[in-house]
Amino acid sequence: MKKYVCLLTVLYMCVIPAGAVFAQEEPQNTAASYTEDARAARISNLRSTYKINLSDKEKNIVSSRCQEAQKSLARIGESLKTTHTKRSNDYTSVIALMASLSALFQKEQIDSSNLDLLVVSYQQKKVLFEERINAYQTALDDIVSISCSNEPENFRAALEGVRAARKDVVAVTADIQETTRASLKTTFDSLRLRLETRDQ
Amino acid sequence: MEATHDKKLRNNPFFVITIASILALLMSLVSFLLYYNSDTRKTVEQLQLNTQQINADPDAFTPKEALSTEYITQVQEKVSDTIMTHSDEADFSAAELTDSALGL
Repeated sequence: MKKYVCLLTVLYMCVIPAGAVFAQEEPQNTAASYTEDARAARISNLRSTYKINLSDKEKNIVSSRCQEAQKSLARIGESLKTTHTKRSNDYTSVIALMASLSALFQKEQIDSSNLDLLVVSYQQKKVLFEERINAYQTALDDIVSISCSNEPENFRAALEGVRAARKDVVAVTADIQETTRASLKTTFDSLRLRLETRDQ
Repeated sequence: MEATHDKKLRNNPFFVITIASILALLMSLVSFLLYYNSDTRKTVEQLQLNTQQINADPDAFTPKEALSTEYITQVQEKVSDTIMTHSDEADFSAAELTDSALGL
C-alpha cells in the first residue's frame, strides 16, 4: 500500500510542472487597442497595484495642479515619438549591418555562428524594446486623457504607471548597451581571427 | 489477502511496464513543454528565419564591400558608435517625471 502511495505521489509531482508549463501565457500587448474601457481597466489595475488612496487634502492638491502636469506629460509624449522612431531606426540599421556581414561570411563559407547569435540577441531585444516603449507611450496617452481634476486618484495611479513603464524601457535599452559592451568586441575579434586563419 | 494482491501486481510485468511508460511519457511531455516555452526555442527559430531570408535573396543582404578585416572593424565601430551614443538619461529622463518637475 505504501508503494502505491509513493507511486501516486511521483505521478502527481510529474503532473504539477506540466500544469505549470501549460498555464504559462504569452505576454499581452497592452498597446493593442486604445479605448476608454481599456484605459479604465489599466488605471483600475494600477490603482490596486499601487494602493492609491489619497486624503482629501492630497486630492485637492492634485486636482488644482494636475492640468499643468498633464501639459508637461503631453510634451514628454510628443518627444517620445521622435525618440522611438530614432532608436528603432538605429537598432534596425545595426541589425541589418551585422546581418549583411553574416551573409558575407556565409558566402565565403566561413563560420559566423557567434555573429548570428549576436544578431538574434539584438533582434529579440529590439522586439522587447518596441513592446515596452509602446506601453510607455500608452501610459502617457492614458494620463493626458484623464479628467484629472475630477479623478485625482486615477491621475496618481496613471502617473505611477508612467514611471513604471519608463523604467521598463530603460531596462531594455540598458540591456542592449550592455550586450554591445560585453559581446561586440569578442564576437568581432573572433570573426577577424577566422578570416585571418582562412587567408593564411 | 491484500499482501497477496500487492505481490501479484508487483510481479505483473504488464502493470510495471505500464507504470514506467506513463512516467516516461509524463517526463518527456514536461521536457518538451519546458523547451517549447523557453527562450532557446525562440532563439533557434529566429536563427532559422534569418538564414532562410538570406538564402532566399542573398544579393539583398550581401553588401558591395568585400570581406576583409578592415570591413569587419568598420562594422564593429559603426555598431558600437550607434548604440553607445544613445543616452537614456537624455531620452527617458526620470527627473522630468518627479512630482516637483510636474508641479504636483
